[in-house]
Amino acid sequence: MHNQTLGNRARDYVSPESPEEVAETLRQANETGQTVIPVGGGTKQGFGGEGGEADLLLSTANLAEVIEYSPGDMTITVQAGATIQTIIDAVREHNQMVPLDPSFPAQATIGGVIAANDSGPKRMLYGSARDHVIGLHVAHSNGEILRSGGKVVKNVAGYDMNKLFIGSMGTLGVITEVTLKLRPLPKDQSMCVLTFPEGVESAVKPFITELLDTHLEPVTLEYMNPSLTNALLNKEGYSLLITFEDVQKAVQYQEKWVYDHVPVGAELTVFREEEVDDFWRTFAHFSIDDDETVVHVKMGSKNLQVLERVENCSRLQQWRDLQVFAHGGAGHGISRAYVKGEEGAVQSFVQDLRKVCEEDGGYAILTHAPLAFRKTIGVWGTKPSYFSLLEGIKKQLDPQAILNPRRFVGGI
Amino acid sequence: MTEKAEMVEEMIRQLGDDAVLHRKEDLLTYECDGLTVYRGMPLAVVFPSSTEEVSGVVKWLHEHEIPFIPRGAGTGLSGGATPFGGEVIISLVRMKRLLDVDYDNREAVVQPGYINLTLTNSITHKGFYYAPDPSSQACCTIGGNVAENAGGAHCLKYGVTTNHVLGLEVVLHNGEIVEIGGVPDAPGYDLMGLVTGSEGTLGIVTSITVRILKNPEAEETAMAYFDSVEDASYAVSGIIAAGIVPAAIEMMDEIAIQGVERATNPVGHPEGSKAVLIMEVDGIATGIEEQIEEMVSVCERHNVVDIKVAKNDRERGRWWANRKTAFGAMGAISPAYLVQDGVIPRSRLSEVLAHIADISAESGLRIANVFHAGDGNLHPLILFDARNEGETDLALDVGSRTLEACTAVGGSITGEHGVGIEKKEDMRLVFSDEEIERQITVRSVFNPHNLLNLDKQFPKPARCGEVKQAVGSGEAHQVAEQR
Amino acid sequence: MTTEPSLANLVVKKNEPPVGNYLWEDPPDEDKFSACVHCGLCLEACPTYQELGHEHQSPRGRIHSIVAVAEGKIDINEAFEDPMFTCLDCRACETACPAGVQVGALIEEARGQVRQARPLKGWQGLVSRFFLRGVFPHTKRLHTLGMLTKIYQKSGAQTVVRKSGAKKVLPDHLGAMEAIMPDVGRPVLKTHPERIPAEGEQKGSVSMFTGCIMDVMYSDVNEATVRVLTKNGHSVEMPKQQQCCGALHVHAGDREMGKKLARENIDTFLEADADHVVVNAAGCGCALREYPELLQNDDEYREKAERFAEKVLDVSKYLYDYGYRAPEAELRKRVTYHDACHLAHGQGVWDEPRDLLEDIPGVEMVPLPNADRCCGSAGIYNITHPDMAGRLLDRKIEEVPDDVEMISMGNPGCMLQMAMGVMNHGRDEAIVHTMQLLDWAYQLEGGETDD
Ligand SMILES: Cc1cc2nc3c(=O)[nH]c(=O)nc-3n(C[C@H](O)[C@H](O)[C@H](O)COP(=O)(O)OP(=O)(O)OC[C@H]3O[C@@H](n4cnc5c(N)ncnc54)[C@H](O)[C@@H]3O)c2cc1C
Ligand code: SF4
Ligand code: SF4
Repeated sequence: MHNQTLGNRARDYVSPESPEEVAETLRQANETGQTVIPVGGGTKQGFGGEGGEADLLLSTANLAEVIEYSPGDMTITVQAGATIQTIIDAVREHNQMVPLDPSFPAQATIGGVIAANDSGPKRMLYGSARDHVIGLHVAHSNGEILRSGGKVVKNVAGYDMNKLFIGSMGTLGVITEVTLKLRPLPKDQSMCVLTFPEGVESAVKPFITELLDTHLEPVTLEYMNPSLTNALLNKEGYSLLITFEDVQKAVQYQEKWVYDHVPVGAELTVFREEEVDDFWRTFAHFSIDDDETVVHVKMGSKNLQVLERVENCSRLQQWRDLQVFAHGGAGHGISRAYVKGEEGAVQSFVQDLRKVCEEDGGYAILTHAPLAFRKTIGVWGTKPSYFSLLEGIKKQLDPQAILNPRRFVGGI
Repeated sequence: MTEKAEMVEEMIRQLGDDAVLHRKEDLLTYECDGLTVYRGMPLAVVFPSSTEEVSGVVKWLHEHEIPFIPRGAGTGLSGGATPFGGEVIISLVRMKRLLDVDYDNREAVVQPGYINLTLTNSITHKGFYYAPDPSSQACCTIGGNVAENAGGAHCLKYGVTTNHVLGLEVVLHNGEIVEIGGVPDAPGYDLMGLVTGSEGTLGIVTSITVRILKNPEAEETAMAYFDSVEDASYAVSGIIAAGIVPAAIEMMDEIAIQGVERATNPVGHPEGSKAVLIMEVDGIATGIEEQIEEMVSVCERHNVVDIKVAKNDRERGRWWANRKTAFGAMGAISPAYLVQDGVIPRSRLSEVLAHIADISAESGLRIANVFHAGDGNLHPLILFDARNEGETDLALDVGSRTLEACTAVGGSITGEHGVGIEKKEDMRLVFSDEEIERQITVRSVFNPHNLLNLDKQFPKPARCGEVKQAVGSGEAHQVAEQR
Repeated sequence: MTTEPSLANLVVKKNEPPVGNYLWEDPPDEDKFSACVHCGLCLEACPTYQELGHEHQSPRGRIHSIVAVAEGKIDINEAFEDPMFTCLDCRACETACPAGVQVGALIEEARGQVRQARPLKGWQGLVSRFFLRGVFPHTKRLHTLGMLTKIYQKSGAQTVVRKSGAKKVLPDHLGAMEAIMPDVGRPVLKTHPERIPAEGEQKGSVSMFTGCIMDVMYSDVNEATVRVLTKNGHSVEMPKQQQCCGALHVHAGDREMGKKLARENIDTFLEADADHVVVNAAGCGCALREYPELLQNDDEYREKAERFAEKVLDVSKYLYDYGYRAPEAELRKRVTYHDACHLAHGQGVWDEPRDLLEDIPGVEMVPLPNADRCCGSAGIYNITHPDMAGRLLDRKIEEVPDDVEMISMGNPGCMLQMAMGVMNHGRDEAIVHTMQLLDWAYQLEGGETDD
């Protein structure tokens, strides 16, 4: 199961049966100065980390239970090793959903998704992990299991410590239990796909601006470059995925608006009901063979800059022998590129892309890349000016730095 | 020259004469915030007008080990901006400009003293608004909202302040200025999330980038009266179970209804109503009607006595004004009140309300309930008269007991008002000593000498870890007091 | 052992009865100040807080200070006096306050204490005594006093007044403004008979309170008011014994003189026995309606004051409630409306004047942002606190929409102040009283339109 080239490996492997066991493992490791890499579904092995082998791979695979599901409160508490799919299935019978749509829901565990702060296109309306996690249990390196947040949907008692662990890449503690806010399943849904043949993509921005100026409430406004459009939809050109989830009348009304406003030269296809789920499932499982160097890049920017990011990818690809699949959400500011090609070309592509992003006040980080590649150009880009605060937090919570050494920003 | 005089002179040198208050008479009103049972005198209040001025002031105070407290409008309800005595208050009310609005990217940048409602008012002509709407929105500052992670009636659907903050500029304990966030998921730990809700103990927020939203196409508001709080509570659960995502569901009980009817915005709630629900749905116009119909039918299943839908915006506005002034309205039926802020799983509403009624009966103090029913955020308003011997202490005790009632069912001691001074000890109802201590260690990264909003938000740890620091701060405090 | 400040020490216990540093009659009323829950909802409504950001210069802060004196924590000294007198008495806080705290009354009571504890001395005292005691209480002196007139005419304020008059509004065929506007100092109380009959069918009869300043500076507004009332079938009586309302005295802390004037007015108007006493000066109207408050400790007059106050109505509200006919002629003007504090916040009159104006054919109403924020006039405030008054005036004028031709309002103090503002800012909007606009519209009936 473990990929040699991706790094983040360890000599030993443990898979504790209980949170207490996790804590005890950490306490012992801390005492003996052993380094630990927590792992969930293993989907993020290529994300972060420039160091060598650790001592212990600590898996949450055996902590996969649903602890408490309270449909009336629309909250669920699960162990960190539960996969996203497990949770989706658990809450469906009450017509509820976890408003998270990360990649590989069947493999990715909730603990891993939170630690890596993975998110998908529906983030536009529903938000990301930081908007849904209301409580955590975290095993700390000193062997204590500490709670943050709670089980109620509103809570400002003390610091919002949940936030520290979201996106911390397991460098501050091992999440053992998670309480999430749920939402009701929408009563109806549809997805309007607009494809823009190359040359017509300049119509995208005015279209989006016009749409955003209406009262429409799209769940996604995901923009895909031609390669990804081709791979997922078997169509030519750029595409824009506009999803609506609401009561039927409202879905139909919004769909109609798109129908009435299709930009000149663009083509509209509408997906309904199951088709929409099927599409998003395919989308979340999109991957490319790694017979050559494969790198995934996550970019953060202001919302509409996403369009530039996706187009940047195409432009930077042009004179390089690369395959670049890119998409980004015009309503949430996150773009992603999946790049495949000869190592040097990939490398210069990523460096150029990172430069563009950082110049715009954003970032480009590698969410998947071979260890060697990560070592050469770095995962996280330029260190933030407030790095000393990050370092300080790490020092307080994991003073011996046994957790995921050098996996995070600035070598934390 | 005494230390206070030196400090005042320096502050005047940095900020100008009219930006420093130091006479006792001028400082008095700063001895508390919206919670009046705890009071302490600040050493001075200073009014910087820019980030650089904040930084300069903080740097000097830090060098001289004088504790300081950021303060917005002072509407906080947990004593967050209340001095223990001897701190310098850094008031941010002069930093009240709207720095930028970017409609395309749906962002606005404001200074910390900018008033919550003013933001909505200044973008409404473009059809936009700022979602978090604490009942104090007409006067509380967005900086204060960030510090308390404020919520409001419409947070049921749209989330609280932290869900709307996109970036912050923060002056750290030593005067250093940092910018955090700005783009989603900025690499590194989520400092923005941590600072939001940190009650001014981690830094002074000097600029805030917030998300702004497009007004919903339509909204409908209904008001439903019930003969019992239980029926109203079940109706709330029923609405949620029906898969509706209301924009807001608020409840007021009998005493609260009496209060608002006696105050400045009466709307004619029928006499003797035991509970009223104010429910709002918003979204795409064509879909609204079926949702409101569904809510009405849920209420009918739970013995609603009367239910009406607002005829127009004016009526809706009046209903909300009636609800939003409910705390202040207590002034019309009681000389003082203490508001608590416990949160419970909403499925336990009727049980906990019954428990609170028992506490009221036992103590002999009236308790009005006005709250965000949709997310289980209770606001028991404990009515008392400080002029009666021992009644203030009794009210404080009753407050703590209502919080115990909340935590007993897995809830929290505060949903939006924060811990401040008031609920420091109550923190132990939800967190273990270790958990509290861990939060204090995080604080020490940002606030190593405990100068920033000294000793707020956390009780003294029972174990040693922090003792050294606590003593340090105690000294600073005492010195300050002697001046 | 730690030295952490103990929570218990911070808990405020008010078990002792207030020690009290209020030593004179009519101290701030405990029932009134204990209604304040320190919520802060009044802060943003307060113009002085908006300007200064200092909380002791806010309603909440002022009440806090008032309580502190009652509790004996601070003395009545200069530091207490300043916020009490920097208050504009605009009552915006009362509109905002959910607990119904009577901030205005509390501050007036506090001012009464301050003036007893710290009588004005020297020049200030002299001027104050001269006007408050020597001039305003004596209708005759006021009327014959050339000084006010002269000061105004010589200082350029006349232009201000004139500007604010009719010239820009009035169709040429009705004659130049100079002809219409009586010279300053020809009050209706002198020029009109005691009783003016209604035109046509009589619908009602009122007593009119003419106001001392109003009647001197803006007697044309009084004339317009009389015409509008009679035109609408209301006979108007003007009891000649009426006095200055005393608002300025009460605001300045001279409650004694205020009460004296109040008693005289109560007697005069109760004797006249009309159903309603109409007022076109919001400041006076508000003061008259608050006589019961002023005389709460006067056993002889308390009940009379209540009877009297119930009769008092602003003229716009009176017309709105008791019948008026929309003018038929067109007055094609873009008009904005400024809420006089003592009309909107003081008497709760917001919509009536706007509706009257909107009913004039041709008038296009343009909303004024923050229409109900004080313009800084506030009685003699613009004389005692020129800086604050000037800042508020600047803000007010800056918010007047560019394309309006007239700014309408219901208070002479505001009219003077706004006229000054318009002049200082080099703008040319005409400042008019709501009654003037109505009057002009009626006068145009039968004639052509104005442009
Ligand atoms: C009538 C009434 C109704 C209310 N309703 C609600 C409600 O519905 N929901 C709700 O959430 N709250 C409510 N509140 C509480 C209060 O209004 C909020 O907590 C608000 O966010 C406080 O803002 P403020 O500007 O008054 O802050 P303050 O009270 O001045 O300060 C609050 C805290 O924030 C810190 N602080 C202030 N500014 C900064 C800054 N720039 N940087 C760092 N720290 C800072 C202070 O040190 C203090 O700890 C209500 C209060 C009242 C009086
Ligand atoms: S009357 Fe006006 S100036 Fe005075 S406190 Fe109230 S709002 Fe402020
Ligand atoms: S005067 Fe009214 S609004 Fe102002 S603080 Fe007191 S109770 Fe609140």
